[in-house]
Amino acid sequence: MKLLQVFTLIICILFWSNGCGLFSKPPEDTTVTYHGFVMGTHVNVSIYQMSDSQDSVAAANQLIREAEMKLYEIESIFDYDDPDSELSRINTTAYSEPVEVSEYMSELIEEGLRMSRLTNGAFDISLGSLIELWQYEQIPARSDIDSLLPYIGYENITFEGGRVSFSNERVKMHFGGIAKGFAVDKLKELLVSGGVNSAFIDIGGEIGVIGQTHRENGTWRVGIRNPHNLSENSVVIEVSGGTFATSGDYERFFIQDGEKYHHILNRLTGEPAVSDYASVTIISGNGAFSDALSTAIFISGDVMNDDTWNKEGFCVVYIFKELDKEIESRHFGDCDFCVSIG
Amino acid sequence: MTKKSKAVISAIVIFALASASLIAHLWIIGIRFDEPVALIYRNGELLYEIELLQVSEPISYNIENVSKVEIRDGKIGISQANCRDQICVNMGFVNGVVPIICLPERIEIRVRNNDSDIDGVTY
Ligand SMILES: [Zn+2]
Repeated sequence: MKLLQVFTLIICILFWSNGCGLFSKPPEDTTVTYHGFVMGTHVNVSIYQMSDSQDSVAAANQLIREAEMKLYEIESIFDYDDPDSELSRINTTAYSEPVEVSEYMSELIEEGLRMSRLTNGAFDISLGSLIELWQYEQIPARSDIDSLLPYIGYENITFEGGRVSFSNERVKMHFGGIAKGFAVDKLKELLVSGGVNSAFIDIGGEIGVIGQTHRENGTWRVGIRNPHNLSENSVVIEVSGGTFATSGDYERFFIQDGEKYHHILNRLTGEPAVSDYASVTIISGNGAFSDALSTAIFISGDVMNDDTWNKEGFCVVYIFKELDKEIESRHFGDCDFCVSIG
Repeated sequence: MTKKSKAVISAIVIFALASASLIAHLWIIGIRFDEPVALIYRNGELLYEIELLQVSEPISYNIENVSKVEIRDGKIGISQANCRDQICVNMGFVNGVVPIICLPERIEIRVRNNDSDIDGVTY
Protein backbone atom coordinates (compact mmCIF):
# COMPACT_ATOMS: atom_id res chain seq x y z
CA MET A 1 0.00 0.00 0.00
CA LYS A 2 2.86 2.31 0.72
CA LEU A 3 4.04 2.14 -2.89
CA LEU A 4 0.59 3.11 -4.11
CA GLN A 5 0.51 6.11 -1.84
CA VAL A 6 3.83 7.34 -3.17
CA PHE A 7 2.63 6.97 -6.76
CA THR A 8 -0.58 8.77 -6.01
CA LEU A 9 1.37 11.63 -4.51
CA ILE A 10 3.68 11.90 -7.53
CA ILE A 11 0.70 11.82 -9.88
CA CYS A 12 -1.05 14.53 -7.92
CA ILE A 13 2.04 16.73 -8.06
CA LEU A 14 2.42 16.19 -11.80
CA PHE A 15 -1.22 17.01 -12.58
CA TRP A 16 -1.20 19.92 -10.20
CA SER A 17 1.93 21.40 -11.69
CA ASN A 18 0.38 21.03 -15.13
CA GLY A 19 -2.87 22.54 -14.16
CA CYS A 20 -1.79 25.49 -12.12
CA GLY A 21 1.14 26.33 -14.34
CA LEU A 22 4.01 25.63 -11.98
CA PHE A 23 6.26 25.68 -14.99
CA SER A 24 4.38 28.27 -16.90
CA LYS A 25 6.35 30.57 -19.03
CA PRO A 26 6.27 34.25 -18.84
CA PRO A 27 3.78 36.14 -20.86
CA GLU A 28 6.43 36.45 -23.54
CA ASP A 29 3.80 36.10 -26.18
CA THR A 30 4.97 39.07 -28.16
CA THR A 31 8.69 38.51 -28.58
CA VAL A 32 9.76 40.70 -31.48
CA THR A 33 13.44 41.31 -32.04
CA TYR A 34 15.49 43.79 -34.03
CA HIS A 35 19.13 43.41 -35.00
CA GLY A 36 21.02 46.14 -36.77
CA PHE A 37 24.31 47.92 -37.19
CA VAL A 38 23.77 51.60 -36.41
CA MET A 39 25.89 54.35 -34.79
CA GLY A 40 29.00 52.28 -35.54
CA THR A 41 27.87 49.35 -33.42
CA HIS A 42 25.62 46.33 -33.11
CA VAL A 43 22.09 46.94 -31.88
CA ASN A 44 19.66 44.41 -30.45
CA VAL A 45 16.19 45.30 -29.27
CA SER A 46 13.73 42.69 -27.98
CA ILE A 47 10.15 43.49 -27.05
CA TYR A 48 8.78 40.75 -24.81
CA GLN A 49 5.40 42.03 -23.80
CA MET A 50 2.94 44.77 -24.71
CA SER A 51 0.48 46.22 -22.23
CA ASP A 52 -2.39 45.67 -24.65
CA SER A 53 -2.52 42.06 -25.77
CA GLN A 54 -4.72 42.80 -28.76
CA ASP A 55 -2.70 42.92 -31.98
CA SER A 56 0.36 43.01 -29.79
CA VAL A 57 2.68 41.47 -32.38
CA ALA A 58 1.69 44.02 -35.00
CA ALA A 59 2.07 46.84 -32.48
CA ALA A 60 5.49 45.56 -31.38
CA ASN A 61 6.64 45.26 -34.99
CA GLN A 62 5.54 48.81 -35.65
CA LEU A 63 7.49 50.02 -32.60
CA ILE A 64 10.58 48.12 -33.72
CA ARG A 65 10.42 49.95 -37.07
CA GLU A 66 10.06 53.27 -35.24
CA ALA A 67 12.99 52.36 -33.00
CA GLU A 68 15.16 51.67 -36.03
CA MET A 69 14.19 55.01 -37.56
CA LYS A 70 14.96 56.73 -34.27
CA LEU A 71 18.44 55.19 -34.25
CA TYR A 72 19.12 56.37 -37.79
CA GLU A 73 17.88 59.82 -36.83
CA ILE A 74 20.24 59.95 -33.83
CA GLU A 75 23.10 58.71 -36.00
CA SER A 76 22.41 61.40 -38.60
CA ILE A 77 22.65 64.07 -35.92
CA PHE A 78 25.71 62.91 -33.95
CA ASP A 79 27.91 61.09 -36.48
CA TYR A 80 31.29 62.81 -36.22
CA ASP A 81 32.60 61.30 -39.45
CA ASP A 82 29.59 62.11 -41.60
CA PRO A 83 30.15 65.53 -43.19
CA ASP A 84 26.38 65.92 -43.54
CA SER A 85 25.55 65.33 -39.87
CA GLU A 86 24.33 68.19 -37.72
CA LEU A 87 27.40 67.72 -35.54
CA SER A 88 29.75 68.19 -38.50
CA ARG A 89 27.89 71.34 -39.51
CA ILE A 90 28.27 72.71 -35.98
CA ASN A 91 31.92 71.68 -35.74
CA THR A 92 32.80 73.54 -38.92
CA THR A 93 30.84 76.73 -38.19
CA ALA A 94 30.36 77.26 -34.44
CA TYR A 95 33.64 79.11 -34.15
CA SER A 96 32.73 81.88 -36.55
CA GLU A 97 29.14 82.31 -35.33
CA PRO A 98 26.71 80.75 -32.81
CA VAL A 99 24.75 77.88 -34.37
CA GLU A 100 21.15 77.06 -33.62
CA VAL A 101 20.74 73.38 -32.80
CA SER A 102 18.04 70.69 -32.99
CA GLU A 103 16.18 69.37 -29.96
CA TYR A 104 18.28 66.22 -29.57
CA MET A 105 21.49 68.14 -30.09
CA SER A 106 20.41 70.65 -27.48
CA GLU A 107 19.60 67.88 -24.99
CA LEU A 108 22.89 66.12 -25.49
CA ILE A 109 25.01 69.29 -25.39
CA GLU A 110 23.34 70.18 -22.10
CA GLU A 111 23.80 66.72 -20.60
CA GLY A 112 27.33 66.52 -22.03
CA LEU A 113 28.35 69.85 -20.51
CA ARG A 114 26.74 68.91 -17.20
CA MET A 115 28.72 65.66 -17.11
CA SER A 116 31.90 67.42 -18.19
CA ARG A 117 31.53 69.83 -15.26
CA LEU A 118 30.52 67.13 -12.76
CA THR A 119 33.58 65.07 -13.63
CA ASN A 120 35.95 68.05 -13.88
CA GLY A 121 36.61 67.21 -17.51
CA ALA A 122 37.43 63.54 -17.00
CA PHE A 123 34.53 63.05 -19.36
CA ASP A 124 34.59 65.88 -21.90
CA ILE A 125 32.55 66.56 -25.05
CA SER A 126 35.26 68.73 -26.62
CA LEU A 127 37.76 66.03 -27.62
CA GLY A 128 36.93 65.91 -31.35
CA SER A 129 40.28 67.17 -32.68
CA LEU A 130 42.20 64.94 -30.29
CA ILE A 131 40.22 61.85 -31.28
CA GLU A 132 40.86 62.72 -34.93
CA LEU A 133 44.57 62.85 -34.22
CA TRP A 134 44.48 59.28 -32.87
CA GLN A 135 42.14 57.80 -35.46
CA TYR A 136 44.84 56.57 -37.81
CA GLU A 137 45.80 53.83 -35.37
CA GLN A 138 49.31 55.07 -34.83
CA ILE A 139 50.84 57.25 -32.16
CA PRO A 140 50.63 60.91 -33.20
CA ALA A 141 53.68 63.19 -32.85
CA ARG A 142 53.96 64.61 -29.34
CA SER A 143 54.26 68.11 -30.81
CA ASP A 144 50.92 67.68 -32.60
CA ILE A 145 49.27 66.67 -29.32
CA ASP A 146 50.86 69.55 -27.41
CA SER A 147 49.78 72.14 -29.94
CA LEU A 148 46.21 70.89 -29.65
CA LEU A 149 45.84 70.63 -25.86
CA PRO A 150 45.19 74.34 -25.20
CA TYR A 151 42.05 74.05 -27.32
CA ILE A 152 40.74 70.95 -25.62
CA GLY A 153 38.21 71.39 -22.82
CA TYR A 154 34.48 71.88 -22.46
CA GLU A 155 35.19 75.41 -21.14
CA ASN A 156 35.69 76.36 -24.79
CA ILE A 157 32.05 75.59 -25.57
CA THR A 158 29.23 78.05 -24.87
CA PHE A 159 25.61 76.99 -25.09
CA GLU A 160 22.98 79.66 -24.58
CA GLY A 161 19.44 80.11 -25.81
CA GLY A 162 19.61 77.04 -28.01
CA ARG A 163 22.79 78.25 -29.76
CA VAL A 164 26.24 76.79 -29.46
CA SER A 165 29.54 78.53 -30.08
CA PHE A 166 33.24 77.67 -29.73
CA SER A 167 36.08 79.86 -28.53
CA ASN A 168 38.50 78.58 -31.13
CA GLU A 169 38.36 76.98 -34.56
CA ARG A 170 40.19 73.88 -33.36
CA VAL A 171 37.47 73.10 -30.80
CA LYS A 172 35.30 70.23 -31.99
CA MET A 173 32.57 68.40 -30.10
CA HIS A 174 32.51 64.60 -30.06
CA PHE A 175 29.76 62.56 -28.40
CA GLY A 176 31.41 59.13 -28.62
CA GLY A 177 31.33 58.62 -24.85
CA ILE A 178 27.68 59.54 -24.35
CA ALA A 179 25.60 59.14 -27.54
CA LYS A 180 24.98 55.39 -27.20
CA GLY A 181 23.63 55.85 -23.68
CA PHE A 182 21.50 58.73 -24.94
CA ALA A 183 20.15 56.48 -27.70
CA VAL A 184 19.22 53.83 -25.12
CA ASP A 185 17.26 56.54 -23.23
CA LYS A 186 15.45 57.62 -26.38
CA LEU A 187 14.50 54.06 -27.33
CA LYS A 188 13.24 53.43 -23.81
CA GLU A 189 11.03 56.54 -24.03
CA LEU A 190 9.71 55.47 -27.41
CA LEU A 191 8.91 51.91 -26.34
CA VAL A 192 7.32 52.83 -23.02
CA SER A 193 5.12 55.49 -24.60
CA GLY A 194 4.17 52.93 -27.27
CA GLY A 195 2.77 50.59 -24.63
CA VAL A 196 5.67 48.19 -24.09
CA ASN A 197 5.53 46.32 -20.78
CA SER A 198 8.75 44.38 -21.02
CA ALA A 199 11.77 44.92 -23.27
CA PHE A 200 15.55 44.66 -23.48
CA ILE A 201 17.72 47.14 -25.40
CA ASP A 202 21.39 46.59 -26.25
CA ILE A 203 23.30 49.26 -28.18
CA GLY A 204 26.89 48.07 -28.45
CA GLY A 205 26.89 46.74 -24.89
CA GLU A 206 25.00 49.68 -23.37
CA ILE A 207 21.94 48.02 -21.92
CA GLY A 208 18.50 49.34 -21.06
CA VAL A 209 15.68 47.33 -19.53
CA ILE A 210 11.96 48.05 -19.42
CA GLY A 211 9.51 46.41 -17.03
CA GLN A 212 9.95 42.92 -15.68
CA THR A 213 11.06 39.47 -16.73
CA HIS A 214 9.32 36.16 -16.10
CA ARG A 215 11.56 35.42 -13.12
CA GLU A 216 9.88 35.08 -9.79
CA ASN A 217 10.95 38.54 -8.65
CA GLY A 218 10.74 40.00 -12.15
CA THR A 219 14.39 41.09 -12.24
CA TRP A 220 16.78 41.22 -15.18
CA ARG A 221 20.18 39.53 -15.07
CA VAL A 222 22.97 41.25 -16.97
CA GLY A 223 26.55 40.01 -17.14
CA ILE A 224 29.63 42.22 -17.30
CA ARG A 225 32.04 40.93 -19.91
CA ASN A 226 35.24 39.75 -18.28
CA PRO A 227 37.99 42.09 -19.55
CA HIS A 228 40.57 39.39 -18.80
CA ASN A 229 38.71 36.64 -20.66
CA LEU A 230 36.38 38.11 -23.25
CA SER A 231 34.34 34.94 -23.80
CA GLU A 232 33.07 35.00 -20.21
CA ASN A 233 31.23 37.22 -17.78
CA SER A 234 33.02 38.49 -14.69
CA VAL A 235 29.95 39.05 -12.64
CA VAL A 236 26.17 39.11 -13.04
CA ILE A 237 24.08 42.09 -11.91
CA GLU A 238 20.44 41.67 -11.05
CA VAL A 239 18.33 44.77 -11.59
CA SER A 240 14.70 45.79 -11.62
CA GLY A 241 15.35 48.68 -14.02
CA GLY A 242 17.99 51.15 -15.15
CA THR A 243 20.63 51.47 -17.84
CA PHE A 244 24.08 49.89 -17.94
CA ALA A 245 27.20 51.34 -19.52
CA THR A 246 30.72 49.92 -19.44
CA SER A 247 34.04 51.51 -20.38
CA GLY A 248 37.06 49.29 -20.84
CA ASP A 249 40.38 49.22 -22.62
CA TYR A 250 39.63 46.03 -24.57
CA GLU A 251 36.94 47.09 -27.00
CA ARG A 252 38.84 49.40 -29.35
CA PHE A 253 42.61 49.67 -29.45
CA PHE A 254 45.70 49.31 -31.61
CA ILE A 255 49.12 47.90 -30.84
CA GLN A 256 52.33 49.70 -31.71
CA ASP A 257 55.82 48.52 -30.72
CA GLY A 258 54.26 45.95 -28.43
CA GLU A 259 52.26 48.58 -26.50
CA LYS A 260 48.48 48.67 -26.45
CA TYR A 261 46.79 52.02 -27.17
CA HIS A 262 43.06 52.04 -26.41
CA HIS A 263 40.53 54.64 -27.51
CA ILE A 264 39.64 56.34 -24.21
CA LEU A 265 41.65 59.56 -24.19
CA ASN A 266 42.65 61.67 -21.21
CA ARG A 267 42.28 65.34 -22.03
CA LEU A 268 45.09 66.33 -19.65
CA THR A 269 47.77 64.23 -21.36
CA GLY A 270 46.19 63.95 -24.79
CA GLU A 271 46.92 60.22 -24.67
CA PRO A 272 45.00 57.04 -23.87
CA ALA A 273 44.10 57.10 -20.19
CA VAL A 274 46.32 55.13 -17.83
CA SER A 275 43.76 53.42 -15.65
CA ASP A 276 43.78 51.12 -12.63
CA TYR A 277 40.70 49.51 -14.11
CA ALA A 278 40.21 47.02 -16.88
CA SER A 279 36.59 48.13 -16.97
CA VAL A 280 34.10 50.32 -15.14
CA THR A 281 30.35 49.71 -15.27
CA ILE A 282 27.68 52.19 -14.19
CA ILE A 283 24.03 51.36 -13.61
CA SER A 284 21.73 54.35 -13.28
CA GLY A 285 18.32 55.59 -14.33
CA ASN A 286 19.84 57.72 -17.11
CA GLY A 287 21.71 56.13 -20.02
CA ALA A 288 23.65 59.24 -21.05
CA PHE A 289 24.75 59.66 -17.44
CA SER A 290 25.84 56.00 -17.15
CA ASP A 291 27.75 56.22 -20.42
CA ALA A 292 29.60 59.46 -19.60
CA LEU A 293 30.35 58.52 -16.01
CA SER A 294 31.78 55.09 -16.86
CA THR A 295 34.23 56.87 -19.18
CA ALA A 296 35.09 59.48 -16.53
CA ILE A 297 35.76 56.96 -13.78
CA PHE A 298 37.77 54.76 -16.11
CA ILE A 299 39.98 57.77 -16.87
CA SER A 300 40.32 59.42 -13.49
CA GLY A 301 39.15 57.01 -10.83
CA ASP A 302 36.67 58.29 -8.32
CA VAL A 303 36.77 61.90 -9.42
CA MET A 304 33.83 62.48 -7.28
CA ASN A 305 32.56 64.29 -4.37
CA ASP A 306 30.21 61.85 -2.63
CA ASP A 307 27.60 64.54 -1.91
CA THR A 308 27.26 65.36 -5.58
CA TRP A 309 27.02 61.72 -6.57
CA ASN A 310 24.53 60.79 -3.89
CA LYS A 311 22.10 63.20 -5.53
CA GLU A 312 22.32 61.22 -8.78
CA GLY A 313 21.74 57.66 -7.56
CA PHE A 314 23.73 54.90 -9.27
CA CYS A 315 25.88 51.81 -8.72
CA VAL A 316 29.39 51.34 -10.04
CA VAL A 317 31.29 48.09 -10.57
CA TYR A 318 35.07 48.23 -10.86
CA ILE A 319 37.07 45.44 -12.47
CA PHE A 320 40.75 45.97 -11.87
CA LYS A 321 43.63 45.53 -14.25
CA GLU A 322 45.50 43.52 -11.66
CA LEU A 323 44.21 39.99 -12.00
CA ASP A 324 44.35 39.12 -8.32
CA LYS A 325 42.38 42.19 -7.24
CA GLU A 326 38.77 41.47 -6.37
CA ILE A 327 35.91 43.14 -8.18
CA GLU A 328 34.50 46.06 -6.18
CA SER A 329 31.18 47.83 -6.25
CA ARG A 330 29.77 51.00 -4.70
CA HIS A 331 26.33 52.51 -4.40
CA PHE A 332 25.54 56.21 -4.44
CA GLY A 333 22.24 57.72 -3.40
CA ASP A 334 19.02 56.08 -4.42
CA CYS A 335 19.77 53.08 -6.63
CA ASP A 336 17.08 50.66 -5.55
CA PHE A 337 16.97 49.16 -9.03
CA CYS A 338 20.31 47.40 -8.34
CA VAL A 339 19.01 44.28 -6.65
CA SER A 340 22.26 42.36 -6.36
CA ILE A 341 25.81 42.29 -7.68
CA GLY A 342 27.73 39.05 -7.79
CA MET B 1 -3.62 -10.87 -10.54
CA THR B 2 -3.56 -9.78 -6.98
CA LYS B 3 -5.23 -6.62 -5.84
CA LYS B 4 -1.84 -5.16 -5.08
CA SER B 5 -0.32 -5.79 -8.48
CA LYS B 6 -3.41 -4.34 -10.19
CA ALA B 7 -2.99 -1.19 -8.15
CA VAL B 8 0.69 -0.99 -9.05
CA ILE B 9 -0.02 -1.41 -12.77
CA SER B 10 -2.73 1.22 -12.80
CA ALA B 11 -0.46 3.54 -10.84
CA ILE B 12 2.27 3.09 -13.44
CA VAL B 13 -0.18 3.74 -16.29
CA ILE B 14 -1.49 6.90 -14.65
CA PHE B 15 2.06 8.01 -13.88
CA ALA B 16 3.05 7.59 -17.53
CA LEU B 17 -0.02 9.52 -18.70
CA ALA B 18 0.64 12.32 -16.25
CA SER B 19 4.28 12.55 -17.31
CA ALA B 20 3.32 12.64 -20.99
CA SER B 21 0.81 15.37 -20.27
CA LEU B 22 3.44 17.37 -18.39
CA ILE B 23 5.90 17.10 -21.25
CA ALA B 24 3.20 18.10 -23.75
CA HIS B 25 2.26 21.01 -21.54
CA LEU B 26 5.85 22.24 -21.30
CA TRP B 27 6.18 21.85 -25.06
CA ILE B 28 3.06 23.87 -25.77
CA ILE B 29 3.91 26.71 -23.41
CA GLY B 30 7.31 26.97 -24.99
CA ILE B 31 9.83 25.50 -22.60
CA ARG B 32 11.34 23.33 -25.26
CA PHE B 33 14.26 21.17 -24.40
CA ASP B 34 16.07 22.85 -27.17
CA GLU B 35 19.67 23.44 -27.88
CA PRO B 36 21.78 26.53 -28.10
CA VAL B 37 21.47 28.20 -31.49
CA ALA B 38 24.27 30.37 -32.86
CA LEU B 39 23.26 33.38 -34.92
CA ILE B 40 25.84 35.02 -37.17
CA TYR B 41 25.09 38.58 -38.25
CA ARG B 42 26.90 40.92 -40.60
CA ASN B 43 25.77 44.54 -40.77
CA GLY B 44 22.81 43.58 -38.59
CA GLU B 45 21.65 40.98 -41.12
CA LEU B 46 21.32 37.35 -40.14
CA LEU B 47 23.61 35.20 -42.29
CA TYR B 48 23.56 31.84 -40.48
CA GLU B 49 21.52 30.13 -37.81
CA ILE B 50 23.17 26.96 -36.51
CA GLU B 51 22.21 24.50 -33.79
CA LEU B 52 25.53 24.18 -32.06
CA LEU B 53 25.12 20.69 -30.66
CA GLN B 54 24.13 19.28 -34.05
CA VAL B 55 27.62 20.01 -35.29
CA SER B 56 29.60 16.87 -34.57
CA GLU B 57 32.75 17.56 -36.60
CA PRO B 58 34.49 20.94 -36.51
CA ILE B 59 33.13 23.09 -39.28
CA SER B 60 33.96 26.56 -40.55
CA TYR B 61 32.05 29.27 -42.34
CA ASN B 62 33.67 31.83 -44.54
CA ILE B 63 31.96 35.15 -43.80
CA GLU B 64 32.07 37.18 -47.00
CA ASN B 65 35.83 36.69 -47.30
CA VAL B 66 36.55 38.81 -44.24
CA SER B 67 36.60 36.23 -41.50
CA LYS B 68 36.35 32.58 -40.72
CA VAL B 69 33.86 31.42 -38.11
CA GLU B 70 34.46 28.00 -36.63
CA ILE B 71 32.31 25.64 -34.58
CA ARG B 72 33.92 22.94 -32.50
CA ASP B 73 33.08 21.11 -29.30
CA GLY B 74 29.70 22.82 -29.14
CA LYS B 75 31.27 26.29 -29.17
CA ILE B 76 31.53 29.01 -31.78
CA GLY B 77 34.17 31.65 -32.41
CA ILE B 78 36.08 33.58 -35.03
CA SER B 79 39.28 31.74 -35.89
CA GLN B 80 40.59 34.08 -38.56
CA ALA B 81 39.80 37.70 -39.37
CA ASN B 82 40.91 40.43 -41.72
CA CYS B 83 40.43 43.13 -39.11
CA ARG B 84 43.50 44.87 -37.80
CA ASP B 85 42.74 44.68 -34.10
CA GLN B 86 41.94 40.91 -33.97
CA ILE B 87 39.79 41.54 -30.89
CA CYS B 88 37.15 39.18 -32.27
CA VAL B 89 39.67 36.34 -32.58
CA ASN B 90 40.88 37.01 -29.05
CA MET B 91 37.34 36.70 -27.75
CA GLY B 92 37.77 32.95 -28.10
CA PHE B 93 34.92 30.45 -28.35
CA VAL B 94 31.54 30.67 -26.65
CA ASN B 95 28.42 28.60 -26.16
CA GLY B 96 26.56 31.07 -24.01
CA VAL B 97 25.19 34.54 -23.93
CA VAL B 98 28.46 36.52 -24.22
CA PRO B 99 28.55 37.80 -27.80
CA ILE B 100 31.52 37.63 -30.17
CA ILE B 101 31.90 41.02 -31.80
CA CYS B 102 34.02 42.34 -34.64
CA LEU B 103 33.38 46.06 -34.94
CA PRO B 104 35.65 46.74 -37.94
CA GLU B 105 34.04 43.98 -40.02
CA ARG B 106 30.59 44.51 -38.48
CA ILE B 107 30.22 40.87 -37.49
CA GLU B 108 28.25 39.76 -34.47
CA ILE B 109 27.79 36.22 -33.21
CA ARG B 110 25.19 35.53 -30.55
CA VAL B 111 24.17 32.25 -29.01
CA ARG B 112 20.51 32.00 -28.19
CA ASN B 113 20.04 29.58 -25.34
CA ASN B 114 16.67 29.21 -23.69
CA ASP B 115 18.31 27.66 -20.66
CA SER B 116 20.41 30.76 -20.07
CA ASP B 117 19.66 32.62 -16.89
CA ILE B 118 21.21 35.82 -18.23
CA ASP B 119 19.37 38.36 -20.36
CA GLY B 120 22.35 40.16 -21.83
CA VAL B 121 25.90 41.37 -21.44
CA THR B 122 27.34 44.85 -20.95
CA TYR B 123 30.81 45.61 -22.34
ZN1 LIG C 1 37.66 41.47 -35.79
